[in-house]
Amino acid sequence: MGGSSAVEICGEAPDTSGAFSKKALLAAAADCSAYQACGFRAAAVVLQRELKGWAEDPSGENLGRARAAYDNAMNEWSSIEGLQFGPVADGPVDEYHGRGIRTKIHPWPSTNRCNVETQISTQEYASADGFKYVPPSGRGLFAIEYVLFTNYSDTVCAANQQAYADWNALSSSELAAAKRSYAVAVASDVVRLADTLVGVWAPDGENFKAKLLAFDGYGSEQETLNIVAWSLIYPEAEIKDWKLGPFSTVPVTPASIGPETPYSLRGIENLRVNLRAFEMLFWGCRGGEGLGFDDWLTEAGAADLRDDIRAAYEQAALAADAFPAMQDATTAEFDDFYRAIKPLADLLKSSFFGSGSPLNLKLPASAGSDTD
Amino acid sequence: MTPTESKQCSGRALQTRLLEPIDVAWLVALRILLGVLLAVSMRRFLAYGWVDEFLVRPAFHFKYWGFVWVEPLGSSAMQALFYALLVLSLAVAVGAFFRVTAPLLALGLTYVQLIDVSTYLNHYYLAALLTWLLAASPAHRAWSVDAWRKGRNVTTAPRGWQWLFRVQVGVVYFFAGLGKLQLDWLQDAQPLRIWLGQSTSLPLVGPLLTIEGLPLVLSWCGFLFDTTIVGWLSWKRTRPYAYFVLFVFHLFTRLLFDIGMFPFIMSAAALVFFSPSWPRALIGHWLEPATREKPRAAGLLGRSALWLGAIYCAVQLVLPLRHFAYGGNVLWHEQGMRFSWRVMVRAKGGSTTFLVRDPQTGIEQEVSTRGYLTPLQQNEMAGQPDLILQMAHAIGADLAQRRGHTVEVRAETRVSLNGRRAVPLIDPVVDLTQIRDGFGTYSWVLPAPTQAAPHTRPVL
Repeated sequence: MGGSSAVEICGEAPDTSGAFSKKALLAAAADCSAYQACGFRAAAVVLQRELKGWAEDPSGENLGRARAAYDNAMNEWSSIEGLQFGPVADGPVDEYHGRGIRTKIHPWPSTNRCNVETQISTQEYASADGFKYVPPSGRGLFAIEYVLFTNYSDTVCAANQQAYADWNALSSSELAAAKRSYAVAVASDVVRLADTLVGVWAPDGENFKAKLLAFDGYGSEQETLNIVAWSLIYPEAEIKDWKLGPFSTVPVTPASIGPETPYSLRGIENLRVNLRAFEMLFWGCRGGEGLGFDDWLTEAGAADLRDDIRAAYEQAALAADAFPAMQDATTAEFDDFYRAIKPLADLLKSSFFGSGSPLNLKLPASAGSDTD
Repeated sequence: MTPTESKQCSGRALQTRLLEPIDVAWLVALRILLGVLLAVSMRRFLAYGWVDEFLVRPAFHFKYWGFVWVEPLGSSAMQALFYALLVLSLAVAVGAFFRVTAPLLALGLTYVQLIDVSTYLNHYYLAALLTWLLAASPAHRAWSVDAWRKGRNVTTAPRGWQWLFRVQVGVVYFFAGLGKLQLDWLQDAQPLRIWLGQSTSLPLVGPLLTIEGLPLVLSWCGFLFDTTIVGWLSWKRTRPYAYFVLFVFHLFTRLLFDIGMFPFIMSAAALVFFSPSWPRALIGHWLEPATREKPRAAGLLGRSALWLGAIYCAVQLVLPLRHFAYGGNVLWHEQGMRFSWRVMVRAKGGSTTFLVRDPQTGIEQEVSTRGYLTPLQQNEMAGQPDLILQMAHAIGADLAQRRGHTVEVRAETRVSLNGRRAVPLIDPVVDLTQIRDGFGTYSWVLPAPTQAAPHTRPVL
């Protein structure tokens, strides 16, 4: 993959250091998002190239290169998971500008193996409409992961579905070729979406940074900051409750959500990058340096909370670094990890967001009501 | 004259004074303004999707004492109800079938409020009270569809009605001021320091909010305004200036905070302090002149009405003071918080983790409230002990039903009040399923943090 790595194409993470202002914070978040989008696009292009190479020559070596490219793309995407605002976000996350790009690239937790197998067997995606009617749950990085890391000869689609008949009508070699073709097509779609994402931030494109700084559509600076900050709740909902909760005995009724990457088994790697993305937005884009929400807390005179969040984050990050591959972890290890993440999650809910927030940051989905 | 005779005499004089007919114009103006504002309020609920979001969607509703039986209607029926309330508001405004529409409107507003405690807002409560008072009053006597139907305008109403409304509006301001008589507000300017931070991007005004010391100045202004405005409005010489200040004050609060219709309702309601004929000064040439009626001796109905009014006023005066019976910091334990006009005095939020212990296995697990509550309900519950208790009971009952035996439910809470570091609110060792809510002091609520509220700053 030499010659086209994210760092070589996109350079170093942006230097967002400088005097604090809320606008400067929004600018830093925008620059960081643009940088991450660039990184993901670079990785997606490599993934597309490697998948094409593997489709043309399905050797073990090419499969290995494609899997490595997938790993790299997933790493890059796991950063963007922690930066879900603006057009990349789903509508319910950013009700003003969310266009759901995220879900088309990375549909978890709404993934569906049958929907992938339907596309492989029926090849609806190859029609003139392309991916227009392909549900997100059967495309994106999940579909590529399915093709690269599984070798299922059966389908989970029900016997009364057309896909079941189509699937079983394919010989094993036809099925393998159909899978590779679908993976290549999905990779092209992912590159197209990544191009869209880069275009969102490009100064000569949609220039969403300018919209963010003008609170365009959001109505106010505070609401803009709310939406950007909501990405920081990721450790509470997605990490604690969705990625760890289902494997832990701590919750009575864990969320019935499957693993994020069930076939490549790289759940812990994703999670570590998710936490680093939290760090980028909270402390600064360049490895925790630069403007972040910590600077806002400092300026607002809430250094105690800033330090508490730092301590809780470090505890969570240490636990993540020490955690084994998820498929090897015991229930007790999941319980311990869950408990290690919880202080950060609680701090975010109790003090950083919500009615007690010193920064007036509302909790997601609670921003619209009156108060008195 | 003996002291008893003297007392009887002054009592009769007060009765006569209260029943004395005065111009009804002020009451008609209030009817029209309140009707229109309530119609706008109902429209906002519908337009913003709040009907479903706040009242229908929650799987669990926090109940008021004595009103556990109140349940929301289905989504379509609830939408229809709000459209009906909108129409009723307009009917009240124009005085159409007032004796039916006004009580129905008051009943509807009360029903909506009783559905879920977590939606409680002082101004919704005030709107319901004003509507009930209006429904009982003769506000439809003049310049109304009803008067037109009957072919006669009665242009007077007993003075007591104006006094009653003045007490109601005065109580809101006075107790709002009394609620600010505490160190967080007057010494540390909290939660104003926090809340002003959301408006620093406003043109012209925004940068001024970052001036050091301004939050404290505004805190004191708010306190002095709330505690004294009724006096200034009651004194004829200062009344117009006081009302101008009041209007600017409410305009300013509307600009800075998300307080919905409250500023408009208060601006309209405060007009009751003006002379009964004030609308004639504005549109007198359109109005039929007020007739002069002789005071009538109080009959049984009049005397009963006066007693009812007196009891109502007494309740309104005592209810906001009930927190004194509990001691401690009402902003923390919340006993005596609702219905006491403590507006804008606490920024309080937190996290609540419910821990369930199965006595048969000894295993303790967490229960997420996501399956029961909406984010807004979770946010509201986090700082209100009685809501946490209700949730604990619901979780206990739910799991007991599923497991076939009782479970223990505890709450690990961390709550931040007015910018302070979050600390536990509920005693984490108490099995909340064994606690019954009541009028007694909450022994299971931990003491309020004693350190001063931090001096956070609004920043640009």
